Amino acid sequence: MFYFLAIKYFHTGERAYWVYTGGALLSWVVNWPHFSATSYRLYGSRENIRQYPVTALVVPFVVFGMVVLALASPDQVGPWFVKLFLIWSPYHFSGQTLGLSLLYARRAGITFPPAARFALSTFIYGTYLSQTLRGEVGLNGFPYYTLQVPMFGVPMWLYEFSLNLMYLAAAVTFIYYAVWSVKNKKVFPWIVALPGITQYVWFVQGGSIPAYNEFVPLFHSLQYMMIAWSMRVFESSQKTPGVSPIVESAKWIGAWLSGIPISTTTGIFIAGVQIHHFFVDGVIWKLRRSTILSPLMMSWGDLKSGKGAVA
Amino acid sequence: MAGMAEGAPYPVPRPSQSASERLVIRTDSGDLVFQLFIAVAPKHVAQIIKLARAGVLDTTHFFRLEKGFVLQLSIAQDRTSPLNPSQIQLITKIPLEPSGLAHQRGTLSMARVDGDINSGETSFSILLGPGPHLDGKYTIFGQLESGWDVLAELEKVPVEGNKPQIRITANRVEIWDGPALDTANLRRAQPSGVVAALQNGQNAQIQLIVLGTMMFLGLLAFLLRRTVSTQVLGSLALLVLLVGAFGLILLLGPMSQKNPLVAVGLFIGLISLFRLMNGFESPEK
Repeated sequence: MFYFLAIKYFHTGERAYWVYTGGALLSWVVNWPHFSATSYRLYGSRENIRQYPVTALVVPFVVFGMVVLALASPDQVGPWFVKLFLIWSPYHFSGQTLGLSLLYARRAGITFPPAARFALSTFIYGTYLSQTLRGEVGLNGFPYYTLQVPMFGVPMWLYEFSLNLMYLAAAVTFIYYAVWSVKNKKVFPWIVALPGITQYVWFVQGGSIPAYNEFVPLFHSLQYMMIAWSMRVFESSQKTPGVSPIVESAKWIGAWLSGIPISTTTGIFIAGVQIHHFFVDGVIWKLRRSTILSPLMMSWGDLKSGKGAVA
Repeated sequence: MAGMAEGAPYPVPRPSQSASERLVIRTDSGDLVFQLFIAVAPKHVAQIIKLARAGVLDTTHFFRLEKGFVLQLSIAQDRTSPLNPSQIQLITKIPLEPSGLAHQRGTLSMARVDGDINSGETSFSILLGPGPHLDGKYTIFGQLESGWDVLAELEKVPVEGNKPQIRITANRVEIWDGPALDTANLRRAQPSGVVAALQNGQNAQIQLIVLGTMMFLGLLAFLLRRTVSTQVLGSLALLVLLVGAFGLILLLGPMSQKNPLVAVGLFIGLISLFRLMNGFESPEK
């Protein structure tokens, strides 16, 4: 939030040299470790591999096959492969935001009724949908590591509809918060509303400011790393065995083998790594699994000591 | 197609710094329309307008294509039909007019001989990506205003080294007054015949691979049906769906740009697919 306000009121918002440099550096320090943390959780124990065999043993080959196809056809397949990743990525952010909101609600002893949950979900996913649709209006593509990413060319009314729906859902959600506050005679816990508001700032308010937009994946990764770290603290106390993660760095090999420019292979490999990450992240953090939910419901002291795991 | 530079993600000189004339390059793949920066490179703009009006640049060709970097037009002497004496007389060297502008996708930049900064004549480049190492050393005299889809289409032409495998001819290079552009019958991107044929062959191969992968995953699910859980079978089914959906995107994606209904359907289908993926390897209830 502070960075958003600083950029909005004290900077032109252009993607200046320091933005590019900072974004690239922080990607290496935060974003990529966040991908590795996901792979680590999946492949870190035989139990996880047994529990998610398709994700662990089949998905890597399917995604790898798509990467090879994209490298073999960088003009036809490459751009649409990258497009799949670029549309899926903020959807994936939204899932994390919704999950966090519901988790914080549970920790505060609040159970959303179905209608309120639907409104919250519509608001959060609405921030993603409306801004994605805004980018898909019109036909001029944009370059992504020298790949020319095409646009679908959806009509403007679809973007406007999604934007209005998002605001309507936000209003319903905040009305629920107000009603809850009145009924329970205390202020609705702000922490429950925070992930949704944050995503609204990321996507809707900050989405058109390049100097801010550059760091949104970083914010998502930081959010993730806090959770992954707290789980690791819990699991360390449980003495769970682990193995080193597989490092994703095949773009140079891909460029050498395929003969296409390194900038193109970079874009394609980034898309492949991220799509693989969406699969892994989606399965290992399912809150309906008690082994995932119960540590996240604990206090810091209990996490460290590893006691009181609730089935 | 007239108007401000659509799709240019970076600053361009203000309209008051551009000539009212537009440079229009007509190719088999569609028409490109450029603003000319008269305030930044007055000599270059005046010379290009003179050459274009005299037909000097007609039937030249883009002899160099480096994807993501540059598409370069040949010198006028290398055109299909020879120059007449009065056209030859118009060709003169233009001194470098450096500016603070950056070489970016769509920039018009005058080519010159290495070592002689004042040797620009008739060959110029259209940048296909950033070229900061050219800034200040080559004259920027214009910017693509419309025809970004045409530029993307030209960039798809297969190359051997830097040479396009098919001749990309600038059939006509014209000068139009900005307000008159509406009557210019400008053409949007048209895939060239050879590229289309090459793409059709590639499309068939890609569809074969996609269908083959779907069949393999389906067969895997069938063979394992008695030994694995419904969670695994369901996830394999979702993978088949994902691969098939990707194949559909490859097929329908280009069509979506011409038909808004297809665009809407594809987009909604994609979001629905992501929603379904939420159930990937979900624990059984």
